Amino acid sequence: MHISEGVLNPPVLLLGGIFTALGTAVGLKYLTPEAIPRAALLTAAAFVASLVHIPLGPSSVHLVLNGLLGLILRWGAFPSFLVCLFLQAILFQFGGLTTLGVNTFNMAFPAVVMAYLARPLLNKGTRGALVAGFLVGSLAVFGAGLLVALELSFTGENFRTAARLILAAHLPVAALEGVICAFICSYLKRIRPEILR
Amino acid sequence: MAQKRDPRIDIIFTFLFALIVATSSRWSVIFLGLLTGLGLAFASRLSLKKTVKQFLLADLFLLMVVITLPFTTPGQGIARLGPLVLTREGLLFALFIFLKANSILLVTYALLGPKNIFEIAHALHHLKVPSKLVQLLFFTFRYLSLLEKEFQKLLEAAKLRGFSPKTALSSYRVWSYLLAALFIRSYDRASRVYEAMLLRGYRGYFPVWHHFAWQPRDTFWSILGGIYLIFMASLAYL
Repeated sequence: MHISEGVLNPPVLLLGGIFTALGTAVGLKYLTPEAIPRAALLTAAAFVASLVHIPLGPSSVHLVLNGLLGLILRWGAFPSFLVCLFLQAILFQFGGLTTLGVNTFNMAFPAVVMAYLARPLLNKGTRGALVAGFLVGSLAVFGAGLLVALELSFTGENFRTAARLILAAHLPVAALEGVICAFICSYLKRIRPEILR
Repeated sequence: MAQKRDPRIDIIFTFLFALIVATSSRWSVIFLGLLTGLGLAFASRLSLKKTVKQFLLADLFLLMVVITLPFTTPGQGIARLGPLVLTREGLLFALFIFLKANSILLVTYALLGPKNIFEIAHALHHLKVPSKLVQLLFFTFRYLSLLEKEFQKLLEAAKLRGFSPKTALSSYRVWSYLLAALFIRSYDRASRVYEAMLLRGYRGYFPVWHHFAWQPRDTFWSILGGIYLIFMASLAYL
């Protein structure tokens, strides 16, 4: 879930901006000319995936797939989500310009961390990819929700209830992401293993 | 193109405006910001109905924050809802956050919304945003609608073969395979795009052919925008 404009206090906004600038700098360093179109098209694919509404019980949710992008792009997830969120802010008014730093960090940081932690599992056959996909998919979304909740709590005592509600809202999405990401990873591992390399 | 204001002015103005309003804690700044947003939205002839619908209903995050704040902010209680106490201070604070968020959204929507993303990417390039980042933005937007169509085609094909989306593991498996197919197609298309670019002499950057020509009108708008922002900043921080 994207943090909107005008809610967080200046120190949190500033820190988010600094961390995202650092992460993006690292990500851009690894982007060779050949990797730029690849990162861009995968970003576009994730953007398209985030528009899809998947039924979940009586309601439906939309996917984030930050874990999957982290697995494929690693540090490239930072510039990728920066671009994705910038487009969403301009095209749909989701999130916003001043929260671009915080929101990018919330999405990309857990994704990069989980991608590095799960890498050894990913190389252990199709079953390993299934487990790695579940862990990365679910924990990257849960991590994003946790960061949103923490940032809200830092902003003020009276934001704690909203923080808890928002973290709770992330739980079903995290479970669904885990399942979807597990299937995607095992499929990619079987059909096109070089994408996950 | 010749009749338009330099888009760099709009981008810088929007960003500074958002920064000032987002970090301010005064009602006067929010009111002036909201008036500015409404004025700009009116000037760029945005549909009011569409705007209101897009803003009020879209943002679940803002909604959760605004609904809880009246009950969690300490102050003078004015109503009781079971164990919850609605405070006057909380209600005002929630309204403050809500108007603050929407004044920034209005200005962003009015100034950047009608612009083409390629125009914005071009302006960002001239604002010295790292070339790789601008290329990433350019390519992502370039292939967005194409990949969307491709995914709709995949989904339609699956539905014709009897797939019906529901809450079940078997259904999620199909969703996953459709998404995986989308990712594989994007990956393969990227290789073809890169090869085609190499054949056209790509060397890791985009040579820019079109440059902005600064017009007297642009000087006028920068001075006007600058004075407004200085006024807002002094209202916010002094």
